[in-house]
Parts: sequence; structure tokens; C-alpha cells
Amino acid sequence: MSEATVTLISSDKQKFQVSKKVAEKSVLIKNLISDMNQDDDDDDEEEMNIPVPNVRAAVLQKVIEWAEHHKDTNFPDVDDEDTRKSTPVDEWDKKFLEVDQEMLYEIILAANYMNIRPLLDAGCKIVAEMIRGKSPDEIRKIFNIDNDFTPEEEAAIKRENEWAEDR
Amino acid sequence: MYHIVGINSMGFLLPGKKINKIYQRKIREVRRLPNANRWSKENVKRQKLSKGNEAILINIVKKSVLERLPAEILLEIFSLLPVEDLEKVVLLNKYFFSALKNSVYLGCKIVDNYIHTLPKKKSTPEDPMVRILDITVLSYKFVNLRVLESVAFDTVLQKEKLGKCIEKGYISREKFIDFPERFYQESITADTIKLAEYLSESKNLRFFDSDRVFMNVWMNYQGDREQLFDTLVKCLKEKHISDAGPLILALQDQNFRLCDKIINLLSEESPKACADEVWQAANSEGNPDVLDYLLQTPFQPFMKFGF
Repeated sequence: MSEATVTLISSDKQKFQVSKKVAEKSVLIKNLISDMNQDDDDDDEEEMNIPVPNVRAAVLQKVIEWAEHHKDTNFPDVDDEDTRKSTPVDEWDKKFLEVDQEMLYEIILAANYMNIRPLLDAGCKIVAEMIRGKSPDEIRKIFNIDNDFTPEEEAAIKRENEWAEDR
Repeated sequence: MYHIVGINSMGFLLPGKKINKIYQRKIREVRRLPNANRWSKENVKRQKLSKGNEAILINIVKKSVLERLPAEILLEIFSLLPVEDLEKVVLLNKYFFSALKNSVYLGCKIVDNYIHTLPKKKSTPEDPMVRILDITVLSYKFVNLRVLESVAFDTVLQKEKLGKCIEKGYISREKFIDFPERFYQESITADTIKLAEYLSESKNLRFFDSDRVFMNVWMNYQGDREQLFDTLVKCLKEKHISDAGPLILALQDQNFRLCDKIINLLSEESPKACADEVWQAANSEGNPDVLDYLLQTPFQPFMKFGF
């Protein structure tokens, strides 16, 4: 018996046929499929078209590539925040997320929207690594952030160190 | 048989149903909704925009990826960073400054990183573990009452003691722990006082250096000193002070009820040791009520003041 498949439709109407197991890496789609199956008794051989209107084709393709690779991976429980946080990013994931910032941003958004927690975690960790140990100027340069503080304001924040620590 | 399902842009699910008029309309609405990634450069280029909207969009497109991330994801990223890095993020621009400054959520996430779970010395199946907060985190200003009340922990331990507990594999609870340096400083606020009271009542923290806390905090506090006095006394490890500064301040305010409380807190030797200082201060004020009051206290006058 052939593996059950679903068709994901991106925001720009491109269709991606994927196995149900791969599609179900997304909790959103998993719940959706489960709801649909509950509604119908004459299950099995029907074709499921699932629009993913927030995700464009290029991004959806990347997300599917990730899900294909991790279809047999057991990730830490979503509620086990400590383990999730402390687990380092998988080497394959690191390579996979070596993309331009715009694509990384869209993958993170897609993972959030499609509720793919491990991909979202990996994306967040990659961004956190881009910030870790850098000076404000370096971070601004990496992310192209405009500094809208006046020199006086910046000096005042540095002096008062308002947010963090008393020294 | 075909099914069409719709998912709107806010992440709410429209469960899969056979197509009917309601769903067809819903799907059309969903398609009209702007996409979350609508500000990507490609999308902006594709759209024909009015001049006003174009200006707004170009402005948004110019924003960095970090600034465009939804707040909850941004905070998720920040929660993975140590406080030293967050201090730098605060300085990036006004957006990040305001995002970090008032975030109780982020505060809780960071504080959570400083909580260690260890087996209890006398554990029970129902209650086998104890959650210990590393005292280091209390040095940070963002750790306020709202943050600490939102995080579950049983006790606070200094880093060295925490290390020993981990080494031994169990937690033996110290009776009291001194407050971190931040709580002894002159710039303490009403919020910090509330936090100190909470930590004292529920987590066994105490001021070990009574004189220093009274000298710095009590003497420089701008709010209601009597209320502060009561709170500070609750937080002291040893319920006495030897310095007469607080008494002189209360005499200047002619708050004799507070004076009585302070005299009760002063150590036995204080009236003898500090009488000179107290009488000098009272004499320079020249207020007869204050001098009358002092005469009824253990602070004995000296001949040079003419008594």
C-alpha cells in the first residue's frame, strides 16, 4: 500500500505533494488532517489539499526539506523547555539554516505559523548565536539596524544601565 | 472527493470541511488577508501601491529582520542569551530598549535560567525536588517583584553554596542568606523594598549588615520612612543597629513614635556610645519638644549642653 500523501499549497499557489508523515511535522497540519479524518468516515484514498497561505513557495520548499530530513527524528517534548533550550543546534540544521537573513526570517515565521517547534527553536538559536558576544555596533552591522538614539540618550542608558545591573 | 481547508493569517485554524458557501466566503476572506511575510522585498515589489502606502512600506522593508520578527519570537531569541548580551541589545536602538525594559516575560525566562532543580535531602515521592534560585540573578535591576512572583522557586542560594549542594547531590537549606549588594545601595526604590520584603518573608533572605542598610537605604529614602522602617526591621538578620543616624533623622522630623521604635532597635551600648552625637544634633536644632523627648530616653545629656 502506498504511503498517504497530502498536497500543501503555498501562498503563490504552488503545490507540494508530501507524505502525511512529513506534513505532520507541522502540528498545525497534523491537527488539520486529524480534524478532517474525524469528519469523514470514508477515509483512505482521498486527496487532501491544504493551503498554507502565509508561506510562499520558496520557503515552504525549505520547510518541507527540513521535515523530510527529520521525519524520523525524535525531538524533546514541547513542554520540556529546559531540554529544548539546552540542546545544541544539530549540524545538519546549522547547514540548512545557512541562508540569507530574509530567508531565515521567513523560515522562522513559517515554523511559528505552521507550529513546527524544533525548526522554530533551531532558527531562534541561530539568530541568538548571531548576537552572542557581539558589541552593539557589531550587532547593528550584522542586522542592518539603525541606531535612533541621540548620543546623549545612549550615554545616559550606558551610565544608568537602566535595564540590567547595578555596578 | 476534494477537501479544502483554510488557515487564516493569525494562526487560527478553520477545520477542514466540505466546501459550502460559508467556507467559500471564508476562504476568499482568508485569501484577502495580508500575509505575515507580506513585507518581504519580493512581495513589496509585486504590489502596486499608492504613494502614501509606498512610503510606509519602504520604511518597513528597510527595517532589519530582527525588528520585523513578532515580539513573542524576538523574546524567545532573547531568552536564549545571557544577561551580558542583553545589556548590549538594549543599546541597539529605541525599539529594542523598550522591548526589553518592561518585559516581565523575558525577565521570567532569564530568571528561569538561574533556577536549579535538585533532589531534596528529605524527599518524598510527592515532593522530591527543590527549585533553587542562584542569588546572582537578584543583582539585576529587571528582577522585580512581578518577575519573581511569576517564577516558581523554593529557595535562594549563593553560588558557592549552590555548587556544594550540587556536588553533594542534595540540598540542605541554609537558614538565612544575605541580600545581594544591590539591596544595600542608596538608590533603592519602593519596588526594591517590596521585593526585599517578599524575599525575606518567603525565601529567607536577610540583611546581615543592619547598620549599613540603615545608613544607606533608610537615610536616603525619599518615601514614607516609618513604613520603610517596619519593612527593613522585618528583613534584618539581627534585630538591632548601633548607629544613631536614623534616630537623629527621626528627631529632625519630630516623629517621636518612630524615634521610640528606633531606640528599641538600638543596641544596649548605643545610648552611651552615641549620646554625644544625638544631643549635639538635637541642640543644634534647638527644638524644646525634641529636647524634652530626649530627656525621657536612655540618651543622657552632657553637662556642656547645660542640663
